[in-house]
Amino acid sequence: MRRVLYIFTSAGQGFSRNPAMSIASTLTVTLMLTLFAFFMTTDRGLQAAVTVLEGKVELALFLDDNAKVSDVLALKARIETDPSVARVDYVTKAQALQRLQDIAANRPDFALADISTNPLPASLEIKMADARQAKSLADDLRAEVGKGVVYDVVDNPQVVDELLTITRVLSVGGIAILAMMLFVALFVIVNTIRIAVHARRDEIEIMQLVGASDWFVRWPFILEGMLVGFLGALVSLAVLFAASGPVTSVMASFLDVLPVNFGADFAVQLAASVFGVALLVGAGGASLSVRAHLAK
Amino acid sequence: MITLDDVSKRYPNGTYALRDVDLAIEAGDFVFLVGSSGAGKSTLIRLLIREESASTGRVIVDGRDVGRLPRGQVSHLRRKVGVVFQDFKLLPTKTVAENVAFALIVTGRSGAIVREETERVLSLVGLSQRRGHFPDQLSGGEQQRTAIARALVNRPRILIADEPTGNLDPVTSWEIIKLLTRVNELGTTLVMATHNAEIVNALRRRVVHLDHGRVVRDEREGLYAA
Repeated sequence: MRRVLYIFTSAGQGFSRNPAMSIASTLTVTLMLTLFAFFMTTDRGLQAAVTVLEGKVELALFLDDNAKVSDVLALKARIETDPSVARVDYVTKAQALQRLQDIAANRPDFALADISTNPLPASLEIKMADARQAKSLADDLRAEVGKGVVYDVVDNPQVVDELLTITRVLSVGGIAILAMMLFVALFVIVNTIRIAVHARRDEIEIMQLVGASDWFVRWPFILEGMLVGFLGALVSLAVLFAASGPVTSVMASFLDVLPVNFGADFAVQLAASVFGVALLVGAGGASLSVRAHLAK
Repeated sequence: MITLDDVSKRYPNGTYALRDVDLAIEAGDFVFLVGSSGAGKSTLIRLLIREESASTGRVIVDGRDVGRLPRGQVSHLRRKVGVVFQDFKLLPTKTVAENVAFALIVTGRSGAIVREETERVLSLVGLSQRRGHFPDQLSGGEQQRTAIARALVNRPRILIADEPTGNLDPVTSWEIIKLLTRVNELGTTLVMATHNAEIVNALRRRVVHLDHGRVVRDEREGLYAA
């Protein structure tokens, strides 16, 4: 009990004995964690956007008016066997016309002239399970054009392609920036704890002489490192919380087409990750520093 | 209790701090280590508490081969071997009682035992009245008695003193020596490195004389110089 008390008071003393350094390292950790949270949130938002858009991606296969229904159904069955395809719907000429009339009915500026024939082709609408395969599937199907069944293939996956590229760039860039920040935070913590160790070197020497275990010597410093991490996490979450309102409204107007909603689950996940990273970095940096001292 | 078996300590620059040392110290012995500065006294002491390791040979303390102790066991060795230094090595921000109790706290003893044992050794060294003082409020002799109390509080079987009177005036030195003699009479094996010829000659205990890292003399009831 006394031992635990000693460890905790030592950690607190270590932190307050050199306030400038402790605050500097806490702020560095705060900056790192805020960036971490920012990337985590952005990544989650983009992923949600990609999922929503992926659900909307479809290929349209316009059919020749003279195509036999049996051939069309055979083609439909063949496309359905592709694992990257979620669903294939057959839209007849009559259904296509009905859709157009429905759209026109809802828009007063859009009047349909009454023509006796139906100029709209029948089509197969392909919903993709994996949007990334849309382009190659479309290329495959283009080979069918002119063979009597397929008249044209229309694909429009560019938006998803672009989003996927942005996500990839952000992930790679984010990881690189985070790695650098992590390194800086570790470096600062290692140095903060090194100063704390140096201030206590006599005490450490005496502890070792009277038979304290290495762990007992290490714990106050590791706790001090974790305290730096913990305070950094608190400040960074406070900043995030304060910023989340305005940022959300800006993002909502910017991305209003996308029904992206993070929800409470994500907030909990984010806070847990921020604290986890903070404590790990604090404890890791501190133990590196003490280990180096004890190995001397 | 302590056995050195053909022990040498060679530093990376090639100089020998100890060379081919054989030494056996029985339980309850009182041994003076003498010799000029740099003869190897401090190195020998550092080997006993595994502050350093021998280059060759074996160092046995209380049945354990000190050189082969895993790192995690070193702290247990040090609880069985009390050490006192010339410069006392007290923590200036802790009181006498706290300095002594510190040696118990770090080993994880409970509060009741810490209070009881601290009181026991403080009365043994005659510092019960000074328990609330800080080191800089004490005389040199009192500081050294605090250090001795701290070394004894874990009830070690061996007490090692490296020049314990080196910073003290003659009268105070004698107080410390009387105290150490008393500790030895209570059964603790005592190894003391010293330059104090007067004390060695007066006590007539075993004398181990080191010169350039070798044992050149080992006498029962010896004198400081041959």
